Amino acid sequence: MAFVLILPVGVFAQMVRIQLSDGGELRERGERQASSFVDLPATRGSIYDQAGRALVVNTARFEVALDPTVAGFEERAEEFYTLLGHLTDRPVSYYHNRVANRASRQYVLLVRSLDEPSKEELVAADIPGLLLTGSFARRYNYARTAGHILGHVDTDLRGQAGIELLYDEYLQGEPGRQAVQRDRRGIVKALVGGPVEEPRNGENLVLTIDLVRQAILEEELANGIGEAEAEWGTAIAMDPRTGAILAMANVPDYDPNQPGQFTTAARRNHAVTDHIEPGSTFKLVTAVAAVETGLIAPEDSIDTGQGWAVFSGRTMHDSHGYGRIPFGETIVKSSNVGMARTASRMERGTFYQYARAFGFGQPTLVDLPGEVAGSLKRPERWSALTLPWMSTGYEVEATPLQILTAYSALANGGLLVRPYVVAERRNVHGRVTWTAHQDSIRRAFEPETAEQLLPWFERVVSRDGTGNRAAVAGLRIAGKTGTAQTASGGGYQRRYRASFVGFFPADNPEVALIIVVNNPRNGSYGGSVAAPIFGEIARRWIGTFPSIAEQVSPSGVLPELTESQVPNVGGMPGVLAAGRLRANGFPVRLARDETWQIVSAQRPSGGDTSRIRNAVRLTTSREARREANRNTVVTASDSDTHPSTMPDLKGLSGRRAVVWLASLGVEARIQGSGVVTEQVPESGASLPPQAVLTLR
Amino acid sequence: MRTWYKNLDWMTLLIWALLVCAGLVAIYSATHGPAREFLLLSVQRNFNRQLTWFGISAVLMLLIILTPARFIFRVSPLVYVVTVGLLVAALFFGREINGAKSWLYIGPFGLQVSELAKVGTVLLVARVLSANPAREGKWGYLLLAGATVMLPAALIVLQNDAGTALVFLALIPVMLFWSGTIPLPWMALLVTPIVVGYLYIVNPFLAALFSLAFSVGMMFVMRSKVFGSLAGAFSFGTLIMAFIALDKILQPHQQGRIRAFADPEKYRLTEGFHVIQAKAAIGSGGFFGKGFTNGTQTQLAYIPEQSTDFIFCVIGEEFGFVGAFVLLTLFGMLLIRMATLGTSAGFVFPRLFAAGVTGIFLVHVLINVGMTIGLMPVIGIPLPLISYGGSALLANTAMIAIALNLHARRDEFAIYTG
Repeated sequence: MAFVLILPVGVFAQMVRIQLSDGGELRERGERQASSFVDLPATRGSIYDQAGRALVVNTARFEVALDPTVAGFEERAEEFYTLLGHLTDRPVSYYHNRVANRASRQYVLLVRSLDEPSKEELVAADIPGLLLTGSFARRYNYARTAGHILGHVDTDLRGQAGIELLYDEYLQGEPGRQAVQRDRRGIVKALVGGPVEEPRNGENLVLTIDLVRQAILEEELANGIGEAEAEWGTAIAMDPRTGAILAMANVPDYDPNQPGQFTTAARRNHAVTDHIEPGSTFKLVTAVAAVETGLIAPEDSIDTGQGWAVFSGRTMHDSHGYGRIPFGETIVKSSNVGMARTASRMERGTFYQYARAFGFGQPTLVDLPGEVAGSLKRPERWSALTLPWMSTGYEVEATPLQILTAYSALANGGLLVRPYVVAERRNVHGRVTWTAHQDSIRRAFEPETAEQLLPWFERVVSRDGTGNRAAVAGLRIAGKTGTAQTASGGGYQRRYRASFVGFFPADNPEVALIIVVNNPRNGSYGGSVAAPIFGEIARRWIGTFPSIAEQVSPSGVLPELTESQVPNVGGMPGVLAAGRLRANGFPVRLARDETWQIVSAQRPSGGDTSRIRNAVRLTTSREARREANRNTVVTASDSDTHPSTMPDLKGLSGRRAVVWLASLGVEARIQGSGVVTEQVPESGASLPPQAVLTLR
Repeated sequence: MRTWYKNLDWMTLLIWALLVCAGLVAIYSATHGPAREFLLLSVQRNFNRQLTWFGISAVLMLLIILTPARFIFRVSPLVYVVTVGLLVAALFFGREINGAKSWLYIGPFGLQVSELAKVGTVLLVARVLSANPAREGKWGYLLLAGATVMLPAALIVLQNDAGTALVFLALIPVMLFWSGTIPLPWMALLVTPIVVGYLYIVNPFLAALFSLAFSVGMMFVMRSKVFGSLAGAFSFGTLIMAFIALDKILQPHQQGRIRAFADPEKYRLTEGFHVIQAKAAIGSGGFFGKGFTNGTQTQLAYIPEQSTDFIFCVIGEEFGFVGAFVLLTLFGMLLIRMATLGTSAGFVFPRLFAAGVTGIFLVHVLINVGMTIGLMPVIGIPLPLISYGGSALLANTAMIAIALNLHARRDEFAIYTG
């Protein structure tokens, strides 16, 4: 009897044990496997420039895998391989081999990334056993443009460089989850209609850079580097008032769409990851320290002698001997001797303090990955040579961005700002979730000092300054050249790093810009290599800043255009005719329901001169071709518009071209998509029954 | 003399109805919850079919209760012959489902004959043991009773359904014990193989230890060297049998289940899968459970055979400790009630029949619940009245109904046996 009682007690005890005391562990176990979830990928955020142009977007990609054991595949295998080979530009045998040498019996991955149109074709072919998995790919719309800022992602869309890396957590979003059943081997069997956690899509980023300015900067930098036959170069532009980076480029550059195709050297963002000896551009620190401590005023004269001087047993050279000149002129002429002599009269600590205040030896805290702090030795570790040499930009290392930030402080009346690239983050609904706050890090020096020194830096770009080749007519530029001999293999050999840093307009700076050209073979001085690049960029950038453009060439100067020749639009569809007239400045009167009919008459007629803003009245007719032929209301002299010959359709959209041809009674066949790039027959030929248009 | 329906035990009837309804709820959850999409079409229909079977069983219950008791007594050999005959028929014409050839199909209508055989067997054993010669302790009758059980058990083993056969074998000690013809020490000997076998599976060393203690204990208690050595022979014999059976006689999947029972983690992905998943399901239910159709283990189809053998997991996971406890309490009440029905009869046939039914229910519940909570190796027998299965529901209902009938008409009975 007792034995019979033991059993229920045992059952009860076990129930208590597993449900109440061990429950937690078992529940976890249950949850762990029941929470076999598959991720629902979150869409990675896009990246826009400051004007809202999409720089980085996601595109749909498809992974093609195959289960060759599925019934019905064998019969269609050849057809499938041929189609896939055609879609991916691979030999058919490649897929033969892949399927034949597959590791798993029921699964073989054939294409890692297929675009959407190709996928549609595969779906249409309806091959049994085909497994298509959708995913995203990253597309950098402007390829190399801004590549170093944007960075790139790996195949799993994780940020690897640039903004993509630093803002990865925001761009990524959070994948959603959906419960799945996994069989005992852990293979996903089916999706359950259980609760689905929607993915939280990544945030979009709006950058401070502007695509147009970036493109100009890159083009001019590449030109300059090419002309100088330099090893590499970098250019950064920044709004000195806010720290917003307006553009940033490096040569060589790379295409983030195919990061693997480029060397690490090409992917390097020299602007923040290289610490270089700045050379003469560092004289800003010496000048500010000297003037602000009252050691010397810019107008006070200093003897630069014959262009050389000995400091602690080492000789320092100038390119020329300038004799006795005002201290300010040492900036204009970039006299090493003058600077070093001034600095020698300074306390080491004072100089160090100023260099530190300018931000040297500390990262600028820009939101780009891999930034280095440079190096600024503490005064107790200085040798006797350090102070004179540091005053001319040696024995100190800084990133190009640090130098630019220092000059921004000068432009900004002594206020040091933090550079930044990402202006704001927005969620998928476009609501701003975060805005970069503009940081003024500290006051590096007093505005009066800046005011005293500014004219001298402006004179650098004047005719007798070292940076005269940076000058742009009508634009006040302040800046400084830098020519550093670069250390290689321990000593200073005859390799140079030319730089120019400055800002404009000098009286109300909106742009601070630095150009660094490393190891130019054609020329060596900052003034001859870097300054022209600066000048070209500044000249072309003026147009993108209305306030500067107004200053440089006030609009009142332009003569007003009052009259123009009216183009002949007879025989064209209404929309095209209206477009062409509007492009020439003429408003158009055309009934709305006639926009797709053919223009039979216009007033004033083509070729006449008319006042701009006077509307051109268009008349259309349904039976355009014959009517136009017979009545010849239009003075149709040129072949373009003559109704009985092929019009020139190049540059038109496919739809418009087809409408036009249809109105002429010509059937159009279209190949490709985009705008018409080729047409058969050519314009001017007599009208065929059928025409072939190639669009791209 | 009270009329029979005044003697009818309504309590048992109520518990029966409650248990079947609990079963329907669990089957509904297992077949109409989110898990539905994992299930075969045939399994999805389980709930509706069980509902139909519930109706049929209720009618059967009514019919049996209305039958005169003596008729039942009289036809019991016939019932036995018919149901065992069905077993034989199933061997030839049966359909194999889940590896066991225990289904007879008459048109679309399937009967699991091994379930029906329980009714006939209990009836006949009760009748044999209640005969006067058996009461006097004639060995031949006892052996006849044993053979009555062994025959269907053997047929069922031939059908490849060892679990159900085990239930039949368990009838022997239960009914012999209840018949009161066997002295207690001999009962102990009869029960020993079960204990040793179980211990052997858990830990062979423990089984050997138990055998030694049992032999020595018996020797001291009985003060007889003969009995002691008999106990030793019995228990160690079982040990050796178990050793041979485990390696040679049992089929590989059965061996696997037993190994997995002893160490489920080691066979986590094979035979131990069910054990672990079932335990995880019940364990994760916690005190109040996850709620109706909300059990992840159940609804994500981790639990095999959720509407039949492993239905206790559904209840344990979705209704928690409270639900499982209520269910087991209902079973406990049913069993006690049934045993009481028998003893209050005061006559041997009803008493033995009730004992047999109680024994079968007890074994079913213990083994089924035991295997889901990891106390028993996986033996594929259903939870009576709860698990999906029309034949089982029918047979179990019939057994309860007969017990109720014999109890309600106990006065009638007195006249008959006279």
